[in-house]
Amino acid sequence: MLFNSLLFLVFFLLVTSGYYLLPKSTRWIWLLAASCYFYMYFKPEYILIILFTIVVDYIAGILIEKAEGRVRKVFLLASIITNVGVLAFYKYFNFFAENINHFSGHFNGPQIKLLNFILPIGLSFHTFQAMSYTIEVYKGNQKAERHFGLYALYVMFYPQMVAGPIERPQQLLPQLKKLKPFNNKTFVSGIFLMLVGLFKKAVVADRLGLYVDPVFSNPRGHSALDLLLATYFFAFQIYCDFSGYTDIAIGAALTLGVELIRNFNMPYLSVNISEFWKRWHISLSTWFRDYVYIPLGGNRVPFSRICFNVLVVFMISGLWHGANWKYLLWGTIHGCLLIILLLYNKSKFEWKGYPFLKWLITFNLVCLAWIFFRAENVQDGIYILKKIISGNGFSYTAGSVMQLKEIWYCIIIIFVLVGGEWSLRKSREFSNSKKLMISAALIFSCYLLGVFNETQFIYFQF
Amino acid sequence: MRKTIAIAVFILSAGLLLLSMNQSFINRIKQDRYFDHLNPPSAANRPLYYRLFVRSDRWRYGDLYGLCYLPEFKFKLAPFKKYEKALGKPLNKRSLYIIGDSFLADKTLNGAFEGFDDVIFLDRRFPIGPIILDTARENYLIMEFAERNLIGYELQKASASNQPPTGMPARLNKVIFNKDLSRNLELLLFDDKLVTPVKELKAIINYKLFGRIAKEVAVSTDHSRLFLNATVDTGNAQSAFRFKADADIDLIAGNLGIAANYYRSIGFKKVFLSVIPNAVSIYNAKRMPYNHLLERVEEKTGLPIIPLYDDFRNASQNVFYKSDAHWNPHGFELWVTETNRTIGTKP
Repeated sequence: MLFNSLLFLVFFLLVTSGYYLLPKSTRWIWLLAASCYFYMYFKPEYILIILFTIVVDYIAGILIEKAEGRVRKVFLLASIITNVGVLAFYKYFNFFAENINHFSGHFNGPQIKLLNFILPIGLSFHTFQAMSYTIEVYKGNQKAERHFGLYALYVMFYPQMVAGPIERPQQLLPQLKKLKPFNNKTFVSGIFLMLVGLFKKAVVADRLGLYVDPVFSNPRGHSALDLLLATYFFAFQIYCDFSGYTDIAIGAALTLGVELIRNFNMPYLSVNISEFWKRWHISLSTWFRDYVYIPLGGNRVPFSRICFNVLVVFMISGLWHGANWKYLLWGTIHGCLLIILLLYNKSKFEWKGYPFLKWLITFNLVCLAWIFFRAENVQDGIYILKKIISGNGFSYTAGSVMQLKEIWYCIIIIFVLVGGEWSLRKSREFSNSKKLMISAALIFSCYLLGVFNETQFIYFQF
Repeated sequence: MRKTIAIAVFILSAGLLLLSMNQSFINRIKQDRYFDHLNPPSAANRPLYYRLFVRSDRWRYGDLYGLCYLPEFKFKLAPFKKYEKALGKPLNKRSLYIIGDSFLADKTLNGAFEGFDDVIFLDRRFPIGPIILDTARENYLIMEFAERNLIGYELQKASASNQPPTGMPARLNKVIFNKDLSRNLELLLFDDKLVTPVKELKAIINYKLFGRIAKEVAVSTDHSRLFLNATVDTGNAQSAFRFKADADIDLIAGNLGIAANYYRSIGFKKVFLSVIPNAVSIYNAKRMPYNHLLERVEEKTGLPIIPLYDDFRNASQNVFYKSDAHWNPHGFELWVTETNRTIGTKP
């Protein structure tokens, strides 16, 4: 179910009103049933996959807590292998098989039969959330949950189930155990945040997508300027798409009295790559930091090892986004940029001041990496990069895709977005009436200026 | 107070969801809205169902207007002549079958053709099933196509994949997880006369500011009428401006021949072909290089033709609505006249 669909609107009204009408003790059942429907709407039978991992992790959590010594590790490994195994099978099997077949084909070798199925939606997100539970139980930071229904709800909580934020059990489970009563201010804040998210998705992301998608799908038919513009537009498209989704998710949870963690903090205002990753997809960055980077040694190992670990983490992060070389390259670029920053920080050279220049460099480096993320494949990405750098044909030739006046409108709307986000950064402190007034303006602008073509959120595919 | 609001929201949203899951009800609404413009305007005494659910402007001003809601293309549709069967007319034991599409689906044709005392229309867009002819009569057939629908045409065969799911779980699955729920809700909530001004405002903003219009619709180069975008956009196989090689024409003509042979084999005495041109082929053929699909297919196929293209091109009056993908009453009359001339009295 898409957050920007009418079905979600009706679903949300039904679930939220039903939730507050039910007695407190039964609300979790209602939420779990709603979450199951939300997930099953994509492909009903895939509920069995998620149910399987829920059962495994639920049992593993209890066993880890009860066991002592090395046995605990065995249970943890069993849980991780199950989760990673499911992820690897559904997300990476065909990728590896295709590459092996390609290699084997050169020597007339045997071919692996590819599997024909649709990737379960949001698999990477709920698998990572499930893994964080067993890891936290293993680390002793979280008690194993005995209530199966509540644990299932932790993995399947519908607002954040398919595209995050990836929650930690310490943050989400206590809230689900002790669901809060209706609170006027929280409820209005939730609705307000949902509308901000819808604005980002429908008015900004999907409008930019009208230009970005056709240009990136046919890069050879476009000039350097068209491609450069598409790259900058994509940076804001993906931001508004993903942070818009997150805002709707956090808002929907807030209307139920549940607080989810912040996932974005104006990432394009960062003045270096490290800061960018502290502001972009925060729940994933911290997941990799806590469960991959630190176990690999963190900052306690020699500098060369730190650099190696950073590269490994970012390469895995790239592959997490999709089974494609382009994502691996995107992750590698970010890893390399971070290593350059580490080297710079280690050197005695100090570059004080010039925050604008630092921001400009960081923003452009991030956009450069986005080229590979968005391009259809690595070859297209290299072509786009070469063409932009060559500056060959620096005139606007994409008039059939988007007229110039709409391009200017897109640029204005990006500035409106940046200014709007800045002025709304303390929106939680706004009064209810102020929020409702802004909400009315958002509804109006979403309807009149929004693009509603039932486009999926980009991060759903991950 | 808060509880009352919650109960009201719950009942309303549950009701909406249940209604949208009832696909047969939704189909009935769609059908009634589609034909509503043919009903007399006095709506005061209409049943509650009509007053609640059949209040749409979607079809009233043309199907293309209903897709884009641009007020500058909001024209009332003129009614079509109904050719009722003349009472007391001597029977000639000849039946005319028409296998066609939306151009003729809602027309009354029983008395349209002199040489026939019975006209039976079969809609190709839906499964027809086996045609069982009355062997005591002479049966004739017209295969009617919109020009764009020639592309990809193949004789309809009964297919198991079109069968509805059987068994309770499968049927329930189809209802609860119906993939059209959002579209159905849109139909229930926003396909209403009250919302039309807001839809028009949005359409004006998008068209005037960004030059954008609903993706299913294209505006003629002189900005005077709308076309179905599938017939314009060269990215679409049905486009009148998409290059068609001779092999493509041979394939279409071949498929028409196979169909005609089959129909003759089940008892039709003669099979005619009638192709209705795309509106864009008549009014905006110089927009891009026109592929002349209609003329080339008519030339290639050996079937007897009900010629229409030249009549349409030379017509002094409009033959298509400006806000609809279909012909207007004048275009329809030309077709009836031409059909009568070709097959009417002495088929």
